[in-house]
Amino acid sequence: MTDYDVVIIGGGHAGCEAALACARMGVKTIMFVMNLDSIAMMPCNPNIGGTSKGHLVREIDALGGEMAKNIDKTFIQSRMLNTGKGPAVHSLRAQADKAAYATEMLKTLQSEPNLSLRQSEVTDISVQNGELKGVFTRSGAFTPCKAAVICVGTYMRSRCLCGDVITDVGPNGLKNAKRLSESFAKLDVSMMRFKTGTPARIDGATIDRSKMQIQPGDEVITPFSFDTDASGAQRVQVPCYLTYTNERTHRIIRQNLSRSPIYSNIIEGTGARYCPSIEDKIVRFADKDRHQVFIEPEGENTTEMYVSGMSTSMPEDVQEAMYRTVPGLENCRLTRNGYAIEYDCIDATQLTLSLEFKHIKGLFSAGQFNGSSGYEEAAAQGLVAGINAALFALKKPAMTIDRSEGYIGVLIDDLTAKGSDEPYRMMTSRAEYRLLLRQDNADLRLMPKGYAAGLVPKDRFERFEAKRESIEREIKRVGQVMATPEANAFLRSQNSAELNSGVPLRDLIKRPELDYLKLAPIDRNRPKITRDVAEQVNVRIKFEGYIKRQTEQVERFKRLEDKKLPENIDYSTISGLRIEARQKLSAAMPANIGRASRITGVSPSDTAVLLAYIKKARVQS
Amino acid sequence: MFDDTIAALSTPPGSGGIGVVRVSGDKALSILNAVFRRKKDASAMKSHTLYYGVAADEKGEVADEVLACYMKKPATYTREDVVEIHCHGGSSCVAGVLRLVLLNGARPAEPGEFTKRAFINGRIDLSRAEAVMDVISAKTDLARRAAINRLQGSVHKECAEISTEIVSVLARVEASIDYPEHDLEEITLKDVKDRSLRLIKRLDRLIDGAHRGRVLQYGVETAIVGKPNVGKSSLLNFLLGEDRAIVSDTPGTTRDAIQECANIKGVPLRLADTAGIRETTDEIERMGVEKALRHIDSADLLIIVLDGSSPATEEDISLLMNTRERKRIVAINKSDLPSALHLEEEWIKPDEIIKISLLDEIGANKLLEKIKDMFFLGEIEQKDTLISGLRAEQALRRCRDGLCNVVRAVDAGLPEDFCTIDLRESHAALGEITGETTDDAVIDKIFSEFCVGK
Repeated sequence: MTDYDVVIIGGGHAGCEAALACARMGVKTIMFVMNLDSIAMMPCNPNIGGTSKGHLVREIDALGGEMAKNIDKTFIQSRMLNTGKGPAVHSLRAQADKAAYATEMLKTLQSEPNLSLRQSEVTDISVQNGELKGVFTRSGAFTPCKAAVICVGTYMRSRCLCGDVITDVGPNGLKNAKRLSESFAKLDVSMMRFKTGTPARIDGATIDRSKMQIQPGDEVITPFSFDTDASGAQRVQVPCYLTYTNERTHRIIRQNLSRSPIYSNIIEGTGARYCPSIEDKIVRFADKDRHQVFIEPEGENTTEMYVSGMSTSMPEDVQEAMYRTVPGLENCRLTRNGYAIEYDCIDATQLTLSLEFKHIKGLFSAGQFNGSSGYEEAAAQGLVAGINAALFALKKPAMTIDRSEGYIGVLIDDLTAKGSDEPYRMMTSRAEYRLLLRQDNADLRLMPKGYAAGLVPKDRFERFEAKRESIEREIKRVGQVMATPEANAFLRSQNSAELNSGVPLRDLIKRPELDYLKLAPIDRNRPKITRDVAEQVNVRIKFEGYIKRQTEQVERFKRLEDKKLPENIDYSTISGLRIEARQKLSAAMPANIGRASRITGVSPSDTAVLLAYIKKARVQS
Repeated sequence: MFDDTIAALSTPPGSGGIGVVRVSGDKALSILNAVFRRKKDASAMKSHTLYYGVAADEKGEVADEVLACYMKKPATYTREDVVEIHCHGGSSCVAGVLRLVLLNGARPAEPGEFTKRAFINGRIDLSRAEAVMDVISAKTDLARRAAINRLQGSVHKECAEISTEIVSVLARVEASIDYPEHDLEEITLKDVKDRSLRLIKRLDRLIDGAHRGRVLQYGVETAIVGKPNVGKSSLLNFLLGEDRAIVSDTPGTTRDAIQECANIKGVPLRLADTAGIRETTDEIERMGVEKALRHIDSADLLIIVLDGSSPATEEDISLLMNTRERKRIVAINKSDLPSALHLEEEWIKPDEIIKISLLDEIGANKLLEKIKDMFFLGEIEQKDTLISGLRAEQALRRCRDGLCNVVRAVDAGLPEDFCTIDLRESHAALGEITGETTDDAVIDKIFSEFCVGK
């Protein structure tokens, strides 16, 4: 029998990143999946990225993950969203060819020499004295390991609901996992039950595209991965379509509300506010006379299309009737019903920032199992959990990302410090240092971490260092090169105020009507730099004041994060803490004062007491 | 250890001969240099030396004639740079000097914060650590309650409205960022600017009012409570030594809380006689009852008056049960009449009870002694309303600064997501008054107001 260092349970977006990270960091890894034909499956929307999720994908790439590279190989349309707004909120989104996405990911997994794939259901986790020992599969076989990452998604004790038809399956009709939940109960892991849903799929050959508004991709495609050559990524794109619901649609839904499992109280799980079904939208926003519907292709070699905006768990006959009221869909044929799915997941406050269970050494967990939602959120956690499982197996210190370093940091900090009472979706408004956490500088923020962890290869890191130096050099240069009144003709042409004396070029870049690229005609000795570098130079100079302010906010934040709380602290003995705070802190065992202050139920006075306590502890020791 | 500079009045508030404003932190000396002018003497100040001069603002308007002293760290109480400004003791002098110090970069100290810094910076013996931590905890909560109490009523309501308006603007901007393809009513930059300007005007009025209307109120805030017609107003008159409140036999006569200052054996009390607490349909009386309940919440000391000549009512029992954790004295009035009042142990501790009769002043002296003991044993404390008022003013100013930055950002042609940085800071500043946190408020607003999601 082969020995494995790390076991990955599940082959979705979290599992794939976790498995690849471990294998590439040189540890022997095995991935158990329920079905080898459903690796990297996208059971809901056919796209990757979007606001804030696009940031996550860029960060995954910077750390050495695979999602960005895989979507660059398999996208069929690409758009940069929010280009009319500031650089911090530009967000990339690509439509995926679902089948190609899964196939390419499978190929990548199969090409890793350190990784084995195995179709077998994990039924039990073996733990002794708070340490992970290995996992049991359905046949009773035992696989010992140093670390394991749970990436079971929405498969645990899941059931799907469509009207009053309840099926005992996982997403997309696949087999669910029944036995693992019991194993977690035995391990004292506290569980929750969440709900999510998906719309129906329709046959694209039965819709009338002339009645809908065409939604093409960008003229110039921006790839996700910092490594993908932009010129090679250009391609002919497949369009999406926009249409709307109307009063007839709403009437059908209202007349059949009692048949919806949500309004007839069959559903037990907690759904997410940001992912409402069409019946939710009509009940909660009764005054809106129409809702947008985006029709998105599921791939190039299929006629199936996704009906975005009309997620539903209404009975089959109601689904058919309501979709057919939408312009363009009058004669559509459903290929798959929409449904709601309920599943077991955990309260992620039981995890550390490295996504390891606080009370089980070596056991890590990622993705929807942690109470998040979305492919990108899952992949980001899978990558961090995978890196840390490998580091654990290698007996190296953990890698963590804080709120000031990346959206991944915000995601994991929110999940593990505050927890979530609904499936957690990333949003740009959750990132308080948003201006620093741009999608364009994800490599500058995180690639050094990926390299230090041993996941980013040396040659890639050297290319990155060259880029970083080139940015610094150019920022310095435009601070020294002077523009003189000779440039006034040019400034007039740009409707920009004329100069009386010389000013550094960087001052001109800061003017709202100008930018780095526009100044090329009066910057004769400008060196040849890439578009990426020019973008960084421009953003860093143009928004210098705001960037400085956010940097100061981060410094204040870091001061509390740097104040570590001892691991063996007994909160019940600390005089001055309120009883609620003692309970919350004892349960959470936060790593530092900053994390402690973000726990619901810990007040500023409790934080002050903790500061005094650690100071005292330090002086005494 | 600490990165900001704090200031407070370190002598007891009131009209003593002098008032000492103390400042501690890295910026202490630069603040002193900004507010302190010496005549004909431009030499650098020596540490631990007292200098004569005036405290004045940047336009040269003098707040007071003062003595000032700069003490270089570490030989100071907090082991940080410390500045002391000795001014005249009247409330307007002290308030003026403290305000100058705060406008030049200090923030108002939390109660006990000088001691906390002294402790954390290693100045205080570790054997006292536990006690200090208790004090820090209690005082921080007290300060927050005080700041909120001070702003009750119309000012608090106005802050809450401004806060709601900021969240509404933020949620609109954030929703359009997170959901760019949804049919949302787009908020234009002009809207953001106009709404910010309107808020700045409202804040200006609040800040003006806070500045003008500030009086140095001091003393132990004391509420006299009980059901109607048990003699609360008579007790107030006795404590004040005058006929101030309307005393009548008709229940519900005191419809508003009356506040008066009294000096009880050297203890400054701020006394509030409150409307009798009972269910009522009378609109005006009900307002009085609501106000009474607020006074009960904010008071440092409760004097609960019961009628010894009749059995305890539901209202008496619920009042006793609800205030068990508070510092209180239970005065059983009409003890000259035959006793009909029976009190269960569960409701009250024996040492809280004083029997009095206001007709012949039996037991009244014991009541005064009890108040004095509680004060000097440190069981009750007076609130420093000057500091909490200044803290609120500073929060309002920071909120205003943020909104001014929003207007500047719009004028500079920056995209709307830049405005969110300052809108968030403005909202967080008001949060010190309203207690609301920004992140949750904005996300809740987005999902309750806009139909977004796939």
